[in-house]
Amino acid sequence: MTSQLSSVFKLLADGFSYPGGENLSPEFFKAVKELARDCGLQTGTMDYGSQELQEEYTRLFINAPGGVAAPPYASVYVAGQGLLMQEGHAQAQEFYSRAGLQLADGQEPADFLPLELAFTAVLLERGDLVLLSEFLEKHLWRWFQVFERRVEASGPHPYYSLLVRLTLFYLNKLKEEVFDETT
Amino acid sequence: MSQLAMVIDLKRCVGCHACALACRAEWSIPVDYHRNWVYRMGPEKTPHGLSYTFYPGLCNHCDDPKCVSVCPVDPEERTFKDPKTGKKKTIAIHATFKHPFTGAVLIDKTRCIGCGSCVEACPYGARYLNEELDDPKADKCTFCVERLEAGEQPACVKTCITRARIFGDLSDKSSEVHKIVASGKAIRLTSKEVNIGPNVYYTGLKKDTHLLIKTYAPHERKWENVKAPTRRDIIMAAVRRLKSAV
Amino acid sequence: MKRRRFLKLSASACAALAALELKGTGMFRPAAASTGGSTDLPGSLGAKDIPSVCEMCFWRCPIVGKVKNGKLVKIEGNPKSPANDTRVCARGNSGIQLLYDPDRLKYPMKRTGKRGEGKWARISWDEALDEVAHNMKKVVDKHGPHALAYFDHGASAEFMRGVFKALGTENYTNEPAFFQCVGPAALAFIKSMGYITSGTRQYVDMKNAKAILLVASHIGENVHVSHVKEYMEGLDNGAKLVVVDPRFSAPAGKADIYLPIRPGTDTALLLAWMNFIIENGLYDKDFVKNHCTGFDDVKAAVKKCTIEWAAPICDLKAEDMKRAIITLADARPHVAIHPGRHATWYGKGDTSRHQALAILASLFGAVGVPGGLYFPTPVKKAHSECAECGGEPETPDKSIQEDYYPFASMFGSPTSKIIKASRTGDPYPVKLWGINGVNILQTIPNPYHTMEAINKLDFIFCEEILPTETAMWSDIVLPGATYLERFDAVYTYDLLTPYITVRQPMVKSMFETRSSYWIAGQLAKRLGMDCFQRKNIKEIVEEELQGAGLTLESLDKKGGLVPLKANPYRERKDLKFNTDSGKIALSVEDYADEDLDPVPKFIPTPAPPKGFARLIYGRVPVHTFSRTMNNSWLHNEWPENELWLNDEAASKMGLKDGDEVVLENQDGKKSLPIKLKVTPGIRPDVVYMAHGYGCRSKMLTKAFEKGASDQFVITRYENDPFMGASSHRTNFVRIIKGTKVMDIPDLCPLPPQLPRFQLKKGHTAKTGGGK
Ligand code: SF4
Ligand code: SF4
Ligand code: SF4
Repeated sequence: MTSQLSSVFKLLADGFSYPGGENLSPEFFKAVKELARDCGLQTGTMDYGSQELQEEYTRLFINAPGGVAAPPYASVYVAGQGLLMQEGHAQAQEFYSRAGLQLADGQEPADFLPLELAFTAVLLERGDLVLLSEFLEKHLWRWFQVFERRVEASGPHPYYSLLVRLTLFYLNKLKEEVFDETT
Repeated sequence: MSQLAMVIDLKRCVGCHACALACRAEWSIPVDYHRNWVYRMGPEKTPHGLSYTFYPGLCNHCDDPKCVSVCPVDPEERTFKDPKTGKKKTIAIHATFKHPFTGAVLIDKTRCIGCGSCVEACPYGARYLNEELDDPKADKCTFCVERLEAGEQPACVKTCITRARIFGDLSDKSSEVHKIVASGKAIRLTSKEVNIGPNVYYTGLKKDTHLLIKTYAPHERKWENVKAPTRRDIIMAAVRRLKSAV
Repeated sequence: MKRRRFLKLSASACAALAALELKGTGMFRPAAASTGGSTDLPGSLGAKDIPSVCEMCFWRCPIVGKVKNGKLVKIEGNPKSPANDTRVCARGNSGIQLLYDPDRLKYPMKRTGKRGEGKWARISWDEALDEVAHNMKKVVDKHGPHALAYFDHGASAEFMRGVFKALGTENYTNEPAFFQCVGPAALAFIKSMGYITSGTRQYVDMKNAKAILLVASHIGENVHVSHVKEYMEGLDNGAKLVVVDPRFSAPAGKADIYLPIRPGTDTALLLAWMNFIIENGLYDKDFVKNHCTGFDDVKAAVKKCTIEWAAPICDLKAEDMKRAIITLADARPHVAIHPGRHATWYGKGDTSRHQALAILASLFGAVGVPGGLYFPTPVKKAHSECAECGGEPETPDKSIQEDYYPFASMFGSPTSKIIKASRTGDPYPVKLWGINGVNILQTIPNPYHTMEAINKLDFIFCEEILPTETAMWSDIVLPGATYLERFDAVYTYDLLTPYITVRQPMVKSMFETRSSYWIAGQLAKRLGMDCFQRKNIKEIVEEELQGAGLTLESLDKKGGLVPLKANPYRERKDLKFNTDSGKIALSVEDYADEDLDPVPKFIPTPAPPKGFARLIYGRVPVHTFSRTMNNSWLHNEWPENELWLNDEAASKMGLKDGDEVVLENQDGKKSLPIKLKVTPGIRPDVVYMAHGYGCRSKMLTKAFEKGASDQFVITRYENDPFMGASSHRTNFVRIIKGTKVMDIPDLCPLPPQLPRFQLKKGHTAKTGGGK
């Protein structure tokens, strides 16, 4: 079962990557839609254009007047005063190295949301629930909740609103089912 | 006994803030707080002429540190080593204490309960408590003792672009700090009301030291108003520490 | 432990997921061994040291980066450097917060909204570069090469400059730094002494001086570490300091003699001083006789310029003026006449003022001697021809570079003329701007004209690190790597403590940022040029180092820097200047050939109209122009600027320290709100603010609208008739508090020689001109 969930997190990782290619395909949207249905979340038709999602992704996560709504980096949320490469980044790096892993390509900071979601998928795939529960409890779950609120508060495009809610749902499930039991 | 001390020469200081930032970088001090600061004064008239000068400040590692005497943490014995002679000495200390050999006023972070008494007591505003942390601890300038042990200078001294910050051991007669202080040219930030033996000294043009004392010498005996933390505060702090340990 | 009941996915969800090819685990690989930098020691202790060169400002101090676990934790001065040793300034210490600023430009961007609106979408590098190349070609095809213009600043902007040049535009360099800053000083010294005594660097030996003259140079507020260090060493050694400035600046606070001069009258003071030392025989007769030409012209020109003539013009006491010049003369020849740096003050007379400084130094024989102006030490390195592709562009019939100001072409095309050409098509249309490392909306007078010009362009792109105002107005934004993430060409320093060193990356470049060399090379390729053949800039660095008998490896072994022997001074008998006569030209024939004054003349600049004060500006030591305003540490140190207002004027106006006000200039343009600093340390006829604040880019979250920008109330400028620089101190402001427009009282009576600026109708002072 963990491998199914692993795919979910891989999907979410790609969903929070910049829209272009695969993650704009009808198949991708279909999978998102199916998952949303599983979670009891409403979705519309989801025939989104690339431009609208790209503009929105840029506004929410890259550069925007007034600052981006929700920088997708742990460091910004974890005692780092809104800066990159602080404590939150060090935490992520520490977890990766405990799993014997490092980033394949080095330009995104280690605490970039898609990387953390992909890391969750790796741990699920490996069945390393001990490390996963710690990763969630001490790190990802903590900051993702704040991140989710900030995205939702910024009047996001329905697609990104759906993605954060979906992620919240699955993280929450993991939290209940994995770490509440391993602790 | 040694006493680490600093003399800041206001004639040299150009108010560039390099010291404040080197300290921030070295010790990862969050931007809302500081161990080291530079305030500007003037241009303002003084009896000695128009002055435009700076107050580069840090903990004074006082002879009679009021921050130490208000610390409510029960004293515990600890053995200290003289970095020069290797001699040892065991004394009982609170969570914040004055090092018996170097005279540096330091904080034992493992025992600090984050009650903030010392922060309130210091008449110079040299300490802070980062209350955003799960388990806040008091923090302030350490005279960079960790760097001294590694044979390095204090970070602020090392970066000072005009060599306005002179650092050393007051008890060492050959040291520059000793010579300047012994010459009687250096002043300290004290007043009639507050005179707790600061070990950071200032020299410079008369008009500049005049303005510094007038503007920044403390008058309020803050330590006298520090309320001892209640039992509840102490228990809450213990709970906090436990929580953040798991 | 309970049995785990994992959430099950529906069959259709499973099927949908199975149909996808997800990246997922491919984002990771097994960890390699640590790259060094012990993390168990506190602070920066135990970190890996990487030598490099700072670029928080353009002085470029040698630094070492302290890296732990791939993260830059601290920057210190490079202890091997004879110029700054372990010292770096506030900005140097804070480079980390540029590197890790969440507001950084991370990926190439394309504008999707209106220019200036800040609506963007991320695009790939290929798309971005294709788009830029396509537009460049299109503009060249339609309007010819001169319709392209390039604005740049910084070490690595040269590569892209090469691309513009190769396309054949004469507007391949119109460095705002020259036309808004040092140009007139640079020209004056080149023409008088044959070398650029003040340009990016100032060759003035304050360390060994017995007296130092600063004419509105704010050392300490403007921080260049080795410069400040030598200034302080000079003062430590007992040098007397004379400071001329309408404002009591940081160096004024340390001065032996401070002269609060009326703005715009510095040349009158300098002429009177020349007259005084000539009349009283306080000049170096041997030096003037054997090493200068044109002395008689100077003597004749200053004949009537007595101290008594200048005193009411400068609003100074004659005895103070005399005391100051005697102090300087007593120290001759070891007297440091600082050549100045930012020189674009009043347009007319700027070159002449710096020529006057050159003459004063020459009269004292203070050239080529310890404590005076000195010669650069040539530093050997090989020259990589890479930045010079394309040869010299052809000059068009009517040339922006050559046809307006006789000496502009030494520096490029005057920015004000490029902007005009873009707005009006005169003398020919300019349709595309490339901008590299300079925030033109916060550096060039009259940003309203600049915005108007941008709106008329077919295309504008920039390479930047942060989303500045200029980036917000660009069609394509290319994210550059910071100086901490890239190599740059070999760096040599030719002042009193010469050395050779290299900028090297301390950490991998973040996000999709790229070095300027790579960007320029990619663009060149798309434009069909065969330059930028090297694989990467490292090869250029190796080539250049070879010429100095070094390799990157051997340099690194020496701590990243090799100090060299200085050769700044000359025996008198060996003095030779790179001028026509081999001597210092006190009177410059080249100027006369162009119908300009060969010797400096005092040309008064209009004084403030009644009710207004002149706006002057300067620097704070923790910021570099508008570039560092979003740096979280530097911002925290000095978040807003303040408006200095004379205490007497303030009390007459009923204003107090800390009051928030708005400035309105002679053209009715208003500033952002700014707090007052009421002080006796400024003349009543000027107000002062630090430059660089009042950011208008909403994408810079810390800097946005903090303090006020001088630039947005600098709408009126005049051009220096010699080289076309744009003046910055020719604007007048009054103060608005709440809804009340307030006149600034006229407390500095004007002598009849000085004209007042005439307001356009409808802008007369509220209380009328009669008071
Ligand atoms: S300056 Fe303040 S914190 Fe430092 S020793 Fe004195 S009282 Fe204590
Ligand atoms: S001595 Fe060290 S801790 Fe103290 S102010 Fe200087 S840099 Fe900061
Ligand atoms: S670094 Fe030195 S010169 Fe700069 S503010 Fe600090 S003490 Fe003054």
